[in-house]
Order: sequence, then C-alpha cells, then structure tokens
Amino acid sequence: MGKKFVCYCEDLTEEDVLEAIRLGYDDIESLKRYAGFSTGPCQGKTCMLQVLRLLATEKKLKPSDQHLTTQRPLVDPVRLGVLAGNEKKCGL
Amino acid sequence: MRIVVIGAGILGLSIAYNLAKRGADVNVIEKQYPGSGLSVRAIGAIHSQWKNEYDIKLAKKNRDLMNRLSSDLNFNIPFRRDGHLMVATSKEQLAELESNAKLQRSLGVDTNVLTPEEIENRYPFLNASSIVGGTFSKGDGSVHPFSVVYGFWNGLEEHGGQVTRPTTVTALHAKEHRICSAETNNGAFEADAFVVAAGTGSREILRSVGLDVPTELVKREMLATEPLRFFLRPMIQVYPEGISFTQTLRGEIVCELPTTGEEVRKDTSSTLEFLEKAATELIRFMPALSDVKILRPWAGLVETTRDSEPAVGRYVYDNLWVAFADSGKSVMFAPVIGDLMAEQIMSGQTNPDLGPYSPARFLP
Repeated sequence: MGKKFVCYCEDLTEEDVLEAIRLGYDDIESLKRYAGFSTGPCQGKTCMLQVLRLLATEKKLKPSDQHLTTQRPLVDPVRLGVLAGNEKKCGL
Repeated sequence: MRIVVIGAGILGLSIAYNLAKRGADVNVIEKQYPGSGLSVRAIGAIHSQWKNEYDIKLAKKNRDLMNRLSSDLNFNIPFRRDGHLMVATSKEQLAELESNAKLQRSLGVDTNVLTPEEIENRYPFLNASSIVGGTFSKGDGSVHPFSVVYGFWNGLEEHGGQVTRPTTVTALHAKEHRICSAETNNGAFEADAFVVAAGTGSREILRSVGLDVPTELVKREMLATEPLRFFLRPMIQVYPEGISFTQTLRGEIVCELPTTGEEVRKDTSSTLEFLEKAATELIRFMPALSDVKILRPWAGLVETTRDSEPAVGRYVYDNLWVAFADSGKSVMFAPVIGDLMAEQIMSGQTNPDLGPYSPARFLP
C-alpha cells in the first residue's frame, strides 16, 4: 500500500489528518495547529484544499461550509536581509 | 458543583482542567476554537525574571508545575528548560536587571548577571556589540503553546468536562449577589459558579452585569523563519520592550515585537513595518540570519491593565470569577493560575498568592 501525502512540507499523509480529526481536532484551525499542515514553506498552497476535503468528508459537511485559515503575507518566503533593506536586489 | 467557564483559551482551559480534576462538572463555552485568542499566537516564553516579589514567587511555582505538566496531563508538552536571557542595551536598563536579579535570587530563583563577553562566549552566534550586559536563569525556558492548550483540553475531557463550541456568550444574568445563568446563541447555561476567561471579549460579558475592568490593547506581531539546524537554545529578550526570539524544536527562528504608534490598527493583521523592523533587529543581534527566509508573520492583541498585571480572582458576585487582561502572562502563568483558581473556586477561600491580581483593585 502506498502512502497518500497531503502536505509535503510537513510530511503529513491522509491517515495522519484523519487521525487528528478523529482525536477531536475537527475544525480547520485546530487541525492546522495540531497536525501542522500549512505551516511549512508552501504556507498552505499545496495542502489546504486537500485537508478541507478530508474534513468535509469526515464530518459530512459541504466544502462551502468551511473557511480557510488566515492567509498572511508573504506569498513566497523572503530573506531577512531583503526586508531589513540591506540588499538592493530583491531576489527570493 | 456545576461550573461554566467562558473561553477555551489557555487560562480558561487550565482553570477548567484543574476544576474537573477536583471533581467539578465543567462546561467550557468557546466562541471559536480552543486557544483562538492570544493563546496560540504566543511564542511561548516561560520565565521568572520579574521585578515584583509576587510575580517572581508565582513564576517559580509555575515553573515547577510546568516541569511536570507532561506527566500530569499525560500529554506531550515540550517545555524546554534552555534558559531565558534578558539583555540590556543601556546602563540604566542593566542596573534594573541587576536589581531584579538580586530580588529573584533572594526568592530562590537561579538568576545570574552576565557581562557582554560572557554572553558572546556562551552564544557565539550573537553580536553583542550593542549589549551592555544581561541576566540569565537556567530553569526558565520556552514551551510550544498549542501543546499546553491541547494538553489541558484533553485532560479536561478525560476528567469528564467538555468544550461547547462554537457558542457565543452574549450576557450573564444575575439575581441579587449571584450569577444564575449565561445566555448564549444556543440557549442559556445554568451553573453554580461562572468563570469569565474570554480574553479580549471578557469586558463586554462583564458589562452585562454592571462590571468592568479598565484595559488597553497592545498589538504584538510575531514571525517564523524557515527551519534551520538547531543552534539557538535560550529565549533571548531585549529588555524591557524589545524583540524576543528563540528557535522552536521544529527549527524555525521565531520572534515577537510590540507594534506601537498612533496609526496602528488594533487588530490581528500583519504589517510591513513589523516585518522590516523584526528583520533589522534579528540581523542586528544575529548577523548570520541575513540569508534566512521568513515563512510567515502573524499578530495578536495583548490586553493590559494600568499596573500591567492580569485580572484574576473573584469579582463582586459570590459565584463570579474572572481570569483575563493577559498583560503578557497568560501563557507564562497558565498552569499555576489554573491550579490556584480551581482551589479557590472549590473552597471559596482566596489564596494570598493570587491577591495582587484580584480584579477588586479596579473597583471604585
């Protein structure tokens, strides 16, 4: 049997997420903080919808009944040196 | 004894767990999700380097409770006793730190004064050129705040308590000297005692029974970088109101700064001003971080009172207890406040250790 990864940054599989939901972390905010998806370099861009789908299926909710966690700047990771104004070139 | 706790933040859950452990029938009413206010936004400093005797005594008790919290709750709570280093950037601040350290030592806390050379020798990654000295306590440390929130939540449920969510308390109802029910969007909840631990929502709930506590909101912003190999052990804080930073067990550098100024919106939005200032400060103290990337910022509102102490204790009505106005202490002191408050509520006797935090000090 292969593993179904939903979050590559934090190495979370579908089974990890389902287990967290069954333990009672069954809203998107608690699930994020318990399981750790969306806290890596992609900041949820890869995993969020997968987790919402699992949550909706498991709790028998419509995906539209759910909300995303707060989306924060930066869109992509930025070096501290750039934000401190020490570098002219704004490379990522 | 039936008890309703309003607010499943770190304080509400700690009080609720400790009540349930003592045999009370506890229902915690939460508007959003457990920890949703400030509790899950803190970077988790746990220190005992305060300036008042009562804060130091309470912090010392708290540290002991924190040390055994994992086994008490049977839940993995990574409290790292890697020390807390407070650094001063002026002679006046250092004099204050030194006098605080003297008081702390007289009360049995292991605080040492360090010179800039000692600080650089211990932590070679630090640029101590703007540091004139500091104080360090080895038994202090940091904790992952979510784990404390979830540990108390889990412990509460194991002792038969529950968190009712999402449910919003809209008002309390009083009859003579007692509170008789909490009105919510899901009906009224009756109980023998009520605990208001609703963070920044507490004042509105208290106003429904003619009470208030004057408070102010201070915005604090935090950030986490990409994970790095583990190297930064203690929590480092630029005394008194500068940046605090450490490395989490996941390897991220996390830091926290107050966002001040007339223009600051008192909400939990992230600002570019913070990102620029935090980046500048982190590089000032750790130049090697220049090439490290920020993954995400976040923000929280800290509620403070005129004496920068929380409001914790019985408030006017015989069966009404409050624990709010964080003042930067709710994650720091959650285990001890929960333990002492539960003891007070069950026995009806006030505990002198919590006396200085009593909301009665705000009564006219």
